[in-house]
This record gives sequence, C-alpha cells and structure tokens, in this order.
Amino acid sequence: METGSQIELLEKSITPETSQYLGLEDSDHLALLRANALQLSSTLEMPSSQKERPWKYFDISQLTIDDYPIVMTGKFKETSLAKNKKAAGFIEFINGKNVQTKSYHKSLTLSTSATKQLGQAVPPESNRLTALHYAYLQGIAVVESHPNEKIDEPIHIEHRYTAKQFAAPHTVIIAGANSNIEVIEQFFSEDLPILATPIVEIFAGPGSAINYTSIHRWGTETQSFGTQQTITEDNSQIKSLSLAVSGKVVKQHIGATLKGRGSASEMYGAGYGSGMGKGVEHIDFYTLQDHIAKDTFSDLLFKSALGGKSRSVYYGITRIGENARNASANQQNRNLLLSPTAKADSDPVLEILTNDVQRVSHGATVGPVDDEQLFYLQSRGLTVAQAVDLLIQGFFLELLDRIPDDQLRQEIEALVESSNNTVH
Amino acid sequence: MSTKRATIEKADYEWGFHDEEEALFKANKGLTPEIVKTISKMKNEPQWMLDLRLSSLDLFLEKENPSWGSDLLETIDFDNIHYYVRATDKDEQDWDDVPEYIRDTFDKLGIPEAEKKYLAGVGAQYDSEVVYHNIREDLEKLGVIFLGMDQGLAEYEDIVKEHFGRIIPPGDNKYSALNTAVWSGGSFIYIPKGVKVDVPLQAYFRINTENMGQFERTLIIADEGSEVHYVEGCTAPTYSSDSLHSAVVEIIVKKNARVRYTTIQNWSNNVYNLVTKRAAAYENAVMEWVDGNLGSKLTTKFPSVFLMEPGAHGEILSLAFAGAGQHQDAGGKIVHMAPHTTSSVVSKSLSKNGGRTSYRGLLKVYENCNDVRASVRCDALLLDEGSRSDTYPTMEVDAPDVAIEHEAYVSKLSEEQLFYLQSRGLTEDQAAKMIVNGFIEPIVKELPMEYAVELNRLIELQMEGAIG
Repeated sequence: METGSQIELLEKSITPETSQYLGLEDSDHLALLRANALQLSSTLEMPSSQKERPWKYFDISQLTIDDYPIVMTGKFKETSLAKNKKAAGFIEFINGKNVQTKSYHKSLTLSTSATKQLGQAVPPESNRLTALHYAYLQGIAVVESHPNEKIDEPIHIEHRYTAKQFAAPHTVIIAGANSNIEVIEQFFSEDLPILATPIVEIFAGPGSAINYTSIHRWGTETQSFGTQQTITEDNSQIKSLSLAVSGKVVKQHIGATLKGRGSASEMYGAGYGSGMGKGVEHIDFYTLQDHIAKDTFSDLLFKSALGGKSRSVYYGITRIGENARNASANQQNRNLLLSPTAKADSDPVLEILTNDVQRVSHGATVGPVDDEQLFYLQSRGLTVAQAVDLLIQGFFLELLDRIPDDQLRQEIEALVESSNNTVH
Repeated sequence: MSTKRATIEKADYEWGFHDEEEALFKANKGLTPEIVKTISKMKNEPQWMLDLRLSSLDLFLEKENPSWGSDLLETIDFDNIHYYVRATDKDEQDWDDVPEYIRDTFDKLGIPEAEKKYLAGVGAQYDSEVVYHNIREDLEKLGVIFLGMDQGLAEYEDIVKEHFGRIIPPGDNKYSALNTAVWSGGSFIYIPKGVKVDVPLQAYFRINTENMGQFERTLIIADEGSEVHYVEGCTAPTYSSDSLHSAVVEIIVKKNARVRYTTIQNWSNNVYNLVTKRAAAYENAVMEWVDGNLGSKLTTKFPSVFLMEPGAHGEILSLAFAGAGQHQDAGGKIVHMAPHTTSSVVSKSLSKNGGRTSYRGLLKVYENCNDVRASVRCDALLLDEGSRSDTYPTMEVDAPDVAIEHEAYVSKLSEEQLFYLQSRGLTEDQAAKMIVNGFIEPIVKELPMEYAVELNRLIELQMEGAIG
C-alpha cells in the first residue's frame, strides 16, 4: 500500500491532556464541541449489546480503548499520492493529518477545518464511542457544493493509517440548493491494531442530489465503527453506497432523516466476508430510514457474501412517521453463505405509524449459491470454483455498478474476485 | 342459585358481562412465598412441585422485563393482583352438576351448543380451576388423557414430573417464572401412540374475578404417530382495573406425530396477556400453531417450534387485530436444531383506531443444520390514520445450505378496491369488511368452522364504523 512518506510518528495515550493538545488550533465551534465531548467520554457508557439492539451481535464494551494511542505528528515530506483520476477534487489524510487538498472545480469548496454543521447530524452525546470520537477528532474533510451547480466529477477523500492507534476521521458534506455532487471516500490501514470511528455527516440542501460512496479497505486487524447520517431538505436526494471490502470488523450505522418533503434516500451496501485474511471477518450494518415528511421515498439493498468463519449482521429500520403521508419504502437484505462456518443474521424492521402509505415492503433471504445456476454454468464448461466466482460477481454486480468511477470500480471488482478465491 | 348480572361497563365489548363472584377461596392480593405455599397446600401437591414453585418465584422476582418488549409491560402492578381464586371445590364430571351461575356464563359463550355438536371434551376454566370435564367415552377407550392440569398432576404424577417445565424452563423469561410459581388450572393431555383424535379438543377460558390473575398451565404430549387438534378460545368480562393473564403451554410432538394448537384470544381491553408457548417437534413430526389475537390491552405472545430432529416441520399462522389502546405484540419463533427441517410463518395483522400491531419473530438455524427451508411472510393492513404496524423479523442463520426467505408488505385499504366494490353496489362499510375478510382469509380457513364464524363476526364488530 502506498503510505506517502510520513516521518516522525509521535504517540500519546488517550488522556484529557492529549485531547486538549489536539484542540490547540480548533475553531471556537470545534473547541467547545471537543471539550464537551471529553467531559462526556468520562461519564457516558459504551453501547450495550444487551440493551441496544444495533449492538446485539458485537460487544464493544469488551474493547480496551486505553490500549490504542493517539498518533500525532505534523511532519511530512512531500506525498506521492497524486492521482491520475478524473476528479473534481481530492482531500487526503495520513494518520489523521491532511496531506493534500485540491479543488479543480470553481463551484466546490474543500476544507479541513470544522464548519458550524460539524456535530449537528451525529451529536457527541450518543454514547461513549461518539464522545471519544469528538474528543480525539483528527482529520476533518468538509465538502461543500455551491447552489445551483452540477459537479460532474467525483470528489475523492482518502484516509490512510500506518500505525496502531485510535482513529477519529470526520467528514461533512454540504450540498447547496439544487446542486449535484458525488463524493467517494476510502479508508485504508496497514495490518495493525487500529480502532477507527469514522463519522460522516451529510446535509442535502433543497433540491440537491448527493451520491456518496464509502469504501472500507482496512487492514486485517482494524476494527471500524462508523456512523453516517444524512439530513434532507425538501426534494433532495441522497444515494449512499457502503462497501466493506476488508478489515477485522466493519460496523457501519447509516441513517437518513427524511425531514424534507418529497426527499428520497437510496441506501446500498455490500460486504465481502471471507475471514481468511481477506475480506471482512465481521460485517455489521445498521440502517435507519426515517420518514418524517410527506411524499418521502426510500429504497435499500444490502448484500453480503460470506466465506470462511465470517459473519454478517444486518439490522435495519424503516420507519414511516405519523406525518409521513404518502411515503413509499422498500428494504431488502440478501446473504450468500459460502462456507459451513459462516453466519448471517438479518433483521429488517418496519415501523409504520400512519396508514396513508403508498407501499412499504421489505424482504430478506439467506442461502447458498443457487444449485441450478451452478449446474448451468458447469454444463457450459466452467469448473465449480469458476462458476461460484462468476455467481458471486453477479451477486454483487448491481451494487458495484453504482461506484461512480470506472477505474475504482474495476479495482474493487478485482479485490472481490481475489477474496473469493480464498473461499474454496 | 340466582344469577345477578352486573351492568355492562364498556358497551363496545361484546362479552362485557360478568357474574358476581362466588369464589370459595381467594388468595390475598400480592405475591409472597406464603401465597405460593398456600396455593400448593390447597391443591395437596407433592413436595417437588412446591419446591419448583418457590424456586420459580425467586426467578420471577430476580428477572427484569425484556428490554425489547412493549412499554406497557412496565405498567403492570404485580402487588395488585390475586394470584389464586378457586370457584368450586372440585372438578365436575357432568355438565348438570356444574353450578348454575357458571353454566349461565358459559351459555352466553355458546359452550353447550358447541358440545352438542362435536366437542370431544371440555375443560372449561372458570376462574382458576377447571370446573367441568367431559371426555367422550370413545376417547377414553383409546387411552386419551384429557384432564385439568391439577388433576393430571394428582393422577399421573410421573408423566407430569418428567415433562413439566422441560420445554419451557421456569427461568426462560419473567412470565414463565411467574406462571411456574403460581400456576393453576390448564389442561393436561396425553395422546397414546398411533391414536388419531379426529375432533378438536376444546377448552374455554374466562377471567371472572376483578384483578384476578389467570395462570393456566397446559402440557400436551403427543406420542409417536398420534394426531390431535387442541382449540383454546378466550373471552373475558370487562373490568375497570387491569388483569394479568400469563399462561404457559408446553407441547411435545414425538416421532411422526402431528399437533395443531389453535387459539382465539379475545380478552377484554384491560387484560395483559403475556403467554409463553413452545413446542418441541421430533423426527418427521408436524407442529402447527394457529394464533388469533383480537382482544387484550397488551398481548405478548410468540408461539415457538423447536425442530429437534430431521424431517420435523413447524408452522405458525398468526392473526392480530389491534384497536384503540391495544398493542398486539405477537409473532412466532422457529428454531431449526436439526438438518432436513422445514418451517413456514404467515402473519396477518390489522390496526385500527390508533391500535398497534407488531410482528416479532425469530428464525434461527443452528450450525450443521443443512437442507433447511424456511419462509416468513407478514402482511399488515392499516385501517386508519394514527394506527401503527411494526415488523421485527430477526433471522439468525449459522448454516450454509439453507433457504431462508422473508417478505412483508404494509398497506392501507386500497381506494381502488373500495371504489370497485362500491361501483358494484356495496356501501363503503361493506366493501371495507369484504376486503378485510379477504385479507385474513388464509388464516380463517384453517380454523374449525364455528371458530371461523365467530372470528369473522368479531372482526366485523371491530370494523364497525371503520370507514367515514
């Protein structure tokens, strides 16, 4: 993996002094947020797998946070991360430090300092984990599109981690009224124990359209507990794609608060579980499509293919609130089991508080690759392994097709393919 | 004996009458070891049962309400409940000997009529004891045992001791612990090997003392190759303060046996109905729950089937109707513990006047249980604004060679369908009833005829004024 050329890593333990040190150059808004979060991190508790349903299958209270240092260093030689991609802009971080920010589009503002929206969609007081995130926040990316502008090329955000640490990157995406924007955010780490808590806050202005893709390509010992929250204004659209490609644990809480009339949320996600050095050992998606306003629409599809001893958890709520008249929602979860020791838990929940719905449906399936399809492909001369590979590719195709960057899509497809090869 | 009737307190509750109490013994309100000892002593129970009751009481006091359950669970006042009421001294064998005021109550429910037709036997639970028993002679000849649970314990202690609390251990949940501590009444059924009971066995239950808990305990053992259909229907008079009903039903379906357990629950709208029902199905056995929940303030009931051996099949048909102030937290659990097992769950729910229905399910497939097929289908119809429908279909799959499917749809009464039916000359009300009848038809057609009729009638009553 390309790591840039960072020098002089300075580690500090997770203490109030470290948090205060990190906050030396904070804006007033962030300073207040950080100080408050630090306070909360000593009083709040970790989410309980007994009491909090989204945490049922992962007991995070067992993690010893103090084991993970905070990495602080500011010194870099030049980076060699410049990409040959078509892009409207780049923001890149190594160990939470910004190494490159470039905007190629006049209607796009990229920044690495906190805006006033930071902390508004995902408040620090949710639990101890979010409080810790804000207390030790490093690596802020703010992407803002100007009103009435359509930005055709994606903006790339990349985070790389090269040392054991507690990582707290934070991204804020703000789409101005009637603007269009595409953001692709990728997370990388080396095969080291890293505890990551990425938070993404998305504000969809009236009539805007946002396409957000996050790709988790962590090292084998990284555990990532991310939160992504969108708040919509009238007639806005958010399309989000979450890909869990590798890592020890990738747990994503993804929410959309549809408070704008006529707004829409499309949530997609895929996880590759192999548990054999590639893929993710524990894939865990929690989603909330919260219909608050009238005429809102949501669609959702999460898929996982599981080999080795990997495990996938999908728990999602589609809620149609009392005032969300004429809403329409669909929620689907599909799981492919490829090994006798893989596990899949699926719980797609509907909560419907009004009768005035267009149509609300959900579904879930768990099963192996289809025997008939396997047979057909073998009858066409493929080996079993080739046939299974092809079926897995087909299984993910409709999701990977949504990656809005051809080069990157091919890269991810290749990764999935090589993951599959370890399955059998 | 004279029959005094109280005035109907809530006009919208069809069976909202009650006889004045003539209980011969009524325990004080509240729950203490002394009450439990008294219950056990009154029943002349063996020591092991008393010990079981007392240890279960400790478990009940220890355990908390489940974190995922309805908020209404927290509103139960356990100190304000009678845990034991006995109306008559002993079980009656002949209908003519049943005290008149009690017979009068059952007359209103239509029991004698039903019996004349094709009742196999009646275990009618009036207050906390089975007061009436009538097993048709031919069943007796076949060796079928159909008794009140108390009598079953007295006469068949060995069988009871072997199976009681094995399928649902007292510590399974707070309410199974409560039931095990203070149980009274319920049915004890044993169907011998190869015996097929071709008429449904029925028991009517009824709460009749204000603030009285009803904690019946039912144990059904279907021996190899046997078949039985047990029907349980509940109606209760309306009272001004809340009642708690917390039953435990354990069913053992042995190799090649088949059991269907049908419930039509129509408790009055102040009853907490917190029931634990579970069946274990062995090789090639079939267990079916048909579960209709119409009344009560809160029903928390998830009939379960544990598929223990290859070839076992579990089926749950669930119907829930929630009106004003009601929460039907119903559903079902299927646990695949062996390969080559199959299951199906179909749930239909209706919400009206601000009522809330929740489908809460669990589908679990353990490791190494291959060749498992399971499907869960939930449909919900919301009849007006402010009503609520939830679906919580947890699926846990630890084996690869399985086919699991879940589908759910939630909709409102289709204006297109309403319009079509009205264009054919029906009133809006009639059209709505017809659509609802069509919606619940897959469940209703599985019921014995008289229950199907009663259910349709109850749904129609609930539907009055649903439109406009």
